[in-house]
Amino acid sequence: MHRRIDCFRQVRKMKKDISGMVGDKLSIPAETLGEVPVVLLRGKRSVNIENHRGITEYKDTTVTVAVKRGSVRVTGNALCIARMTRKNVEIRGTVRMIELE
Amino acid sequence: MNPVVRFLRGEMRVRVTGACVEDFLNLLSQAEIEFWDIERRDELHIDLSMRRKEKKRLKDIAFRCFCTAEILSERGAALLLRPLRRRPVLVLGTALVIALSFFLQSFVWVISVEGEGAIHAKTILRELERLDIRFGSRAASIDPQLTKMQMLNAVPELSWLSVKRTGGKLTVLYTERFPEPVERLPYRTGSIIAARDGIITDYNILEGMRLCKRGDAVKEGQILVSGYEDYGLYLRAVCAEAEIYAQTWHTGTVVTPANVSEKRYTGREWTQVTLLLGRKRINLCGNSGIFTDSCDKMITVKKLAVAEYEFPVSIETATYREYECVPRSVQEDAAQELLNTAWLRLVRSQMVAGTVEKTDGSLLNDGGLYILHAQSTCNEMIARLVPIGEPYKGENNE
Repeated sequence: MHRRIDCFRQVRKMKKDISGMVGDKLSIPAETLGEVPVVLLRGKRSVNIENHRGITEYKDTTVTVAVKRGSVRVTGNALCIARMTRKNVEIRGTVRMIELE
Repeated sequence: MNPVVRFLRGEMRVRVTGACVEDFLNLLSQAEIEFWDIERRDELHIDLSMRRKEKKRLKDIAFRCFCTAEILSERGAALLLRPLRRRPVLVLGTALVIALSFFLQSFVWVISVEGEGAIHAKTILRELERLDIRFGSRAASIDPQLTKMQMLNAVPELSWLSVKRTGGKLTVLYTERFPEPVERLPYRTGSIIAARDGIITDYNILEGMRLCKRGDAVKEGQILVSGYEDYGLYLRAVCAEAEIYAQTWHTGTVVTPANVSEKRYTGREWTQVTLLLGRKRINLCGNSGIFTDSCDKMITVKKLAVAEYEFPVSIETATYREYECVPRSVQEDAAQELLNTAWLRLVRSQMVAGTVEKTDGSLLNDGGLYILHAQSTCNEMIARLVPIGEPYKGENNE
């Protein structure tokens, strides 16, 4: 059983390595191949985070969004989630700071 | 998303209460449930909007993440129309009216003719009818450009015409062709002659050579102003232009019967009411077989109109007043006055310009007729232009 799980992990790792290598060679943007988060800041009023993995914290002053290998923390005033889909979350309000943890 | 689309699809406002509402939002997004306007109330509550049809899944997801979901409000087109479920006749009637309004717009129900000039609207309507454009015609079969061309050919007095259809109303706008005013004289060369025997009293000559003077007695057809102007060494042909007044005499006879029939109302009246639906006439009340030969008929039409829009529905009220003809003998004084007036009217109609100065006459009653032999002395304009070389043919106004 353990052997089989190890095998699966190895295959998955190989897949990721191959896709990363092909992407680098062909100059394909990383977000189109994998689940690399994309943070789009529109002035101070709106932040759009693509390829998220859910919200871990939601307050007026802080919104933390989980992404692959970490989280994105948006700090500001009167923050609210305007729209949320499986891939995309849009945060509106007065944005003071964006941190990648 | 467009608020109108949201309303049509139906939306609800939900309050979620739980220790970890973030999980609830994550589950919603993973379940691909669309939601928007997320508002944090406090540590435990958030409000959000979502589609009404996700109500059942919402409860499941809330249960899975130990939250409770409370629906605060619902709105949408379906909710608005829900009370109509109990009134199917109203729904069917409304649908029928909407369908009828679309269907009826494919026909012409009103033809409005607007334009300037002396052409009567009925002339335009008659020509349109010849082109199969009438009450009830199919609107799709009307080609405005073709109709315009055909109408301009059919009615030469038209200079411009436009056909425009708005729903069931066809508006025809037209402009009449005004003939260009003739500024030049009708002939290149011509003379002025006398239209009647008389004695010249006054003249005003603008062009041509004068051949008469005040006090001259002239005969009908005599040249008064010549079209040839004599300059000593040469002659110049012109178109003579002049106003010449002369004392003239008109003699004639006018006749009127001594006994006439006079209309006298008997006091009997009938009223006939007819409903006019387009070209159809429906008699609502009153006898359609009224003997109309001895009746005066007065028609009043009331059209059904909203603002300036007239419908092809009207009520025609015809009032018949019966009369009888009673013979009456005309008094001599009345006959004299009547004949004098008729004579003066006749004389004035024979003059181009001028006045009747004096009238004498003798009245006779002979064989049931009053006969007035009259003679009038007038001061009238007798100048008439004729082309050089053509004899005067006289005026056919006796």
